Amino acid sequence: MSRRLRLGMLTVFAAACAVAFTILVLYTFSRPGLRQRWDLSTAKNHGLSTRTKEALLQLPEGSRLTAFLFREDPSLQWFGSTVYDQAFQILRSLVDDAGIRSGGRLQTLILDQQSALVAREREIHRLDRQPGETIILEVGEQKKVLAFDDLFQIARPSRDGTPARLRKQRIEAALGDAAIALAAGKAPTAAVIVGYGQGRLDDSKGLAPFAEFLQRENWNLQAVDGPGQAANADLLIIPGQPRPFLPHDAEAMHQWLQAGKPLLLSLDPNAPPSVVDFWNQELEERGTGFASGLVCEPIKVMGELLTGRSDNAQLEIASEQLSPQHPITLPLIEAQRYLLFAGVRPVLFAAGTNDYTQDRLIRSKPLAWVDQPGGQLFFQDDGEALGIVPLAVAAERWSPNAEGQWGRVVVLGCAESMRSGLVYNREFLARCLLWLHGEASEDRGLLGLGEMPFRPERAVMARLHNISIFGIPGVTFLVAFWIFWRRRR
Amino acid sequence: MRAFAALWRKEVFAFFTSPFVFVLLGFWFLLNGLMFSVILDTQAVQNDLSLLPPYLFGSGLLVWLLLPAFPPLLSIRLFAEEHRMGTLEPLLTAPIRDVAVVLAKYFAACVFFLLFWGGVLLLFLLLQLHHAPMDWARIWGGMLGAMLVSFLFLATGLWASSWGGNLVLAAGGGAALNYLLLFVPALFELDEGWLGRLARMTHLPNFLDRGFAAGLLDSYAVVYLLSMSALFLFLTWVRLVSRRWVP
Repeated sequence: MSRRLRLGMLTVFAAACAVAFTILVLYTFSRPGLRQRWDLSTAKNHGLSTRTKEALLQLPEGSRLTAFLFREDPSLQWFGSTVYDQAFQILRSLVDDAGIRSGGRLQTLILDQQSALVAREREIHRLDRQPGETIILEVGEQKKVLAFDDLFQIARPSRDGTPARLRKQRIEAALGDAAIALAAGKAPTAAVIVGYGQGRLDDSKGLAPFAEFLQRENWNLQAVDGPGQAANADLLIIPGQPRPFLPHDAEAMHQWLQAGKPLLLSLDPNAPPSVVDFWNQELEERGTGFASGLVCEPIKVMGELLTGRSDNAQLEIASEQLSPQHPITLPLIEAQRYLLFAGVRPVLFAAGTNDYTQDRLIRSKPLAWVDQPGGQLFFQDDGEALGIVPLAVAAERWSPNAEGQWGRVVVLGCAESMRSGLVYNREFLARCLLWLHGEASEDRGLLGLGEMPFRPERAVMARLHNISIFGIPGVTFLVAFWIFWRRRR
Repeated sequence: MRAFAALWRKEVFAFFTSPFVFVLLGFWFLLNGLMFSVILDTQAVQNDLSLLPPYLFGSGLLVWLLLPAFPPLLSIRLFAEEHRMGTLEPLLTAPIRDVAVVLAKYFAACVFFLLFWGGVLLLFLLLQLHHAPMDWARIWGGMLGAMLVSFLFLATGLWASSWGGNLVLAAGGGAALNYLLLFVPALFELDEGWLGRLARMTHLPNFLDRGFAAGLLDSYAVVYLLSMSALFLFLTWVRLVSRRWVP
């Protein structure tokens, strides 16, 4: 072997050793135990709290967090709004931090508009992502979905040209809650009653979409014939009730309510009077129940109010018709969401016992009336007064009972909202489920976001432009010329 | 050590008396000034000035276009120019260790590059003078990250400069290496396998955008930038030493 070849090989060997050493150093310092992060920002909102870090460390290996940073709401970009810029900047930092702090348990993936289309579509399809969903945390088969509105409190743009503003964020707390819920390993169980004419959970024209929706919201589904079989469930859902309960199920239902366990109940206008009477008796102490009839509203067409059509029973519910005091509806108001209820039975909103507090979650418009059986369908007959009608009511105890149960109940006058109307009311139902399970607390973990507006006068802006574009480079070019001139001399 | 200090002083002096380098500096300030003005004109930044450091240091043109190109232009004169002028051989035979030669030239370039960032800092001071609210933690964070990245790019430029006396090869090779360091991880970032993980661990704009420019100091990012700089300095030293072994 020639000397030249030997020395050449030695050079290559030395370089290879250096590369290997560098890889070793980087591998060592990338280990979660050695990796440190310090938040030097003034707001200190780019790092995770100890609670969330501990929750992330409880996650099993192979957990995944996918963040979809898509600018989907055009109104949040009007008038030069910085909502998405600010939000995504914080999200990127926190998601990165979550990946690092999880000790390698959590794989993070951030997808934005610039990400490869194939990768974006693959993840959207795999996770069955819906518009507005920003973070999806997966642990095995379980999923926890955090929507943009769950993570941020936003002041919407106004008509006078004021852009939307990011007021507060609760990413950190929401991420911690989701990690804790998933790390527990067992999703809560929702028992759906199907034995009294409600139909099967796998009926694609019936409750199947609702069942998928519940699983997506990280609930274990349990289809039960009656309340008697739901003793171990965490939540009972009654998606309409065409037939009255048998005595043993009626008793089980009574026991359920007395124990203060949560209930999501909906009845449509066709529910038999005996069913309505049963529920009015059971819900009396909570200050709610059902009235009879079908809630209708006139349709405004070219300035004229039309009645006598089946469309009168389709109620478009604007955000003004939602309760601004309740954690279920408050985020929907802030996000200016519309709901659509069709075929709605009026709900009672009355005084209950002093143990309970009630809130009228959804109301009709002031021009609504309740169409009573016997009269002309979809027409406002004599005796059917115009006025606001409650469409959904939530009730809970002022304080939890001895077992720690709040006795929460959401009563809906629209069973169709869990079937064909689900697509219009998903967010509302998701908020109901969160509240019933004790997770919807909007104020918890909210962090303020300060803005630093800078709107200089035109003269100041011109001066800034002149100095940055002409002043500083010009002086540097002059120095270059002076050096060149001196060197030539 | 005295020889190192003497050579370092000589190199710094050479930078400060080179019209080419100041022309380069002028162009850097001009392009940065243009970018600064354009970003400042956007409604988003006027609504919230805390977005300026991430835009400027994180995901902007500065990182993707200017930063990889300028350091190699500065470092071509360190070895390639000496090689072309025929002054490299006397330097390597002088009573100074090769490692001191490499380090003296590198640190001289780093010190001069601080002037590049000083001009950018001046723009922020200008805003402060006009009573703009500033989040200095983010600005310093972004500056620190961008400085560490530029020091890495100077090290790659120095290595490219040691390849021979061809100035185009030195500048082009250094810039190409820098663009590779930027773009290759970006290509594989979304890959699900080990390649994706590796890409995410080496993606420089992410370090800046999600770390430094957000006011987060990440120990891994600092170690990555420093150790990669050290690797390219070592490769430069190997190249110089091997010139003696293999003439």
